[in-house]
Amino acid sequence: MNDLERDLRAVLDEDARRVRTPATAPEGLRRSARRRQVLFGGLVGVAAAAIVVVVIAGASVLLPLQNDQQPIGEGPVTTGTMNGITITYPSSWKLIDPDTAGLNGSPTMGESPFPRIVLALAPTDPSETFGCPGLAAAGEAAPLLMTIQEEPLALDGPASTPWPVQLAPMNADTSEAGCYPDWQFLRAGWTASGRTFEARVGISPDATNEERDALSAAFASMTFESSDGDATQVVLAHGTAGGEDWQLIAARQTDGLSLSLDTRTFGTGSGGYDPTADELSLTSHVFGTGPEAERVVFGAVPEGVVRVEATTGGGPTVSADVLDIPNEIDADLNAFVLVVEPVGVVQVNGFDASGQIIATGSARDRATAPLPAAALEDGRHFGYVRSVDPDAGTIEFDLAYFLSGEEANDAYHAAGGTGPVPNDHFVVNDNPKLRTLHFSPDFRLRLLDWNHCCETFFDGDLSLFAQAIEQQGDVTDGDLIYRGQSQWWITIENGLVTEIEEQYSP
Amino acid sequence: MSQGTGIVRTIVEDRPDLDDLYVRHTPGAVRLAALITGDADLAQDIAHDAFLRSVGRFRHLRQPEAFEAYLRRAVVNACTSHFRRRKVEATYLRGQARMATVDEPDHGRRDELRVALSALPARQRAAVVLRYYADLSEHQAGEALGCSEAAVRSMVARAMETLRERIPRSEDT
Repeated sequence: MNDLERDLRAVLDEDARRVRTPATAPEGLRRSARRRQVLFGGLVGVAAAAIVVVVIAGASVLLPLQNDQQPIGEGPVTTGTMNGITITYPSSWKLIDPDTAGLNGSPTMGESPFPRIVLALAPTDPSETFGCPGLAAAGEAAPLLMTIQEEPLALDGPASTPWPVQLAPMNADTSEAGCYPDWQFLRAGWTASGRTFEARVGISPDATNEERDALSAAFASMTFESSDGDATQVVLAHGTAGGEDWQLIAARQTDGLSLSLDTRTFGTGSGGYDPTADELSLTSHVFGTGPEAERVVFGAVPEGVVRVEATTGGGPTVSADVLDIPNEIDADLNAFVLVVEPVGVVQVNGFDASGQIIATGSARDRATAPLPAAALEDGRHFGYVRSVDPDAGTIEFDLAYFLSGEEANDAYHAAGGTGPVPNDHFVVNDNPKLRTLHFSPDFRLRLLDWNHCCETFFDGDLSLFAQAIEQQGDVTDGDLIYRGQSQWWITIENGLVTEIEEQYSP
Repeated sequence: MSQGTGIVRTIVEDRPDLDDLYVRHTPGAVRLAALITGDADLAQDIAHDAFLRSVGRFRHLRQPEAFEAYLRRAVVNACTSHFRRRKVEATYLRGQARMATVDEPDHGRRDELRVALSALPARQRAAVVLRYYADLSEHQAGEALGCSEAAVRSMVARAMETLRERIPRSEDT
């Protein structure tokens, strides 16, 4: 191994050690992961190769609790109850306990029970029902199946629709095509008896019309019991930002209130709120990119706050009423959520009923987060601008030394020059190292007006400046000249470039 | 077992659950993403997204032990996709500055190396990280990058050549 490879390994190992890694899955991620564990189950497919036979005495877990001769479709039917859901279905079908069938992962997920599949229905045993029907031998896979998943109680959004509801077509991920070739998918979300559910139905092309009708009838037959205890999770609000649907969920955790922002593929959250603090703890996330990008900011507020108002640098002020968190989740705190400009610091003020500000807080987006250390210390530095990226707001800067007087003469002679240094200055630039530096929001570009040389400056345009630097030549804008091969003084404050000023050279 | 006789199939309990998978694989995924992107926050997002994508497909894997390789490929794909946007390139540089100086500033040769690494094309950087940090074989790195072993060899060679050219021996001016 040579020196470079050794250093490379050392640098990478060193940097890797500095990366903070999460010890446990964040709550929002767990929830998103469960949603993404595809259409009808959790990790059951993993275990498909390890299925063993277990005899359950009388199979009482999976057998219907009572027989019922009420007609549903054609043929004998059965009514069963599972996890507080009573459903009537063809007697030849299987009412499947999701926990026994492994659809909910492991019991260690018990601390965050939702979303959780609470009922499954299919014409076949679990092992033939779930996994990957498309890869099963002909005639062995279930022609259709339905799962009912319990979700956090929806106080807002489509899932708060009261039962009964209709099944509607659902777009499945195209990656499911291998396991569910040409299947049709339906879904519905609703709230009943203080509980929120989502049904997912899959129907293979092999399903008969009778089977389809029987499934529809079984779906419509469901009745729901209230949950045993108070709600531990509620959906407070929902919306769309940057083209992505989100919902804000409040949950009661062992250490107090937890708020999380969930999308189909993403989850972020925070907790440990102090109900007595007047400084708001904000969490934000930017959805989308480019002009479509939007930032969702959320947090908890003390009970006295009834309205919040958010401002971002240059963006409009956005306000919203506070969202009431049910007392069984948290008696002392409420919440807010706002969609604001994606860039810059967002300042949030919480107002009481009389219009007084009683709580404040701020959050930065990643792009404006402070840099713990800059590539160059604060102050004024001389050198060459080697490249400019207006989109990223950065320059590559080649630091040099602008010497004058004795220092310039000494350096000039050391470099092999003879006599006095020309123009009484000498530039030393032995190291080609480039430093990437970021512009501050109030960055100023001061260029010499060569038509009125040489103490008159004008405020330059960054894109023309970038063009001149890239071309290493002159770019003109009317009478104004942007010189790509000039020398520059840059001013750095708080690690950011606040000014670039052109150095006159004859 | 006979079906229809009251005997029911169930699942053995040797399957990894979500928490197991997360704890076992995500820290490595975060580190890998951080080294490729240079941004610890972005790395978390990428690793989580890759984890979500991978776990969603997990039940379709014929070989569950392949999850790590599957996740690694998802992370590398996500990182290189991000690098298609110039802003993220800038984020990398910013992040590298952060990572390089948070705990113990190092302005020597290794600092130069970090800067030079940051300037590599994304896939070359990913190849270097997979070979010299993750210690993957050329074959494994090729799987993660979705290319041949020869392509990995070529990318790493080009990257090392560039690094040799860009790392100056002299001290700061």
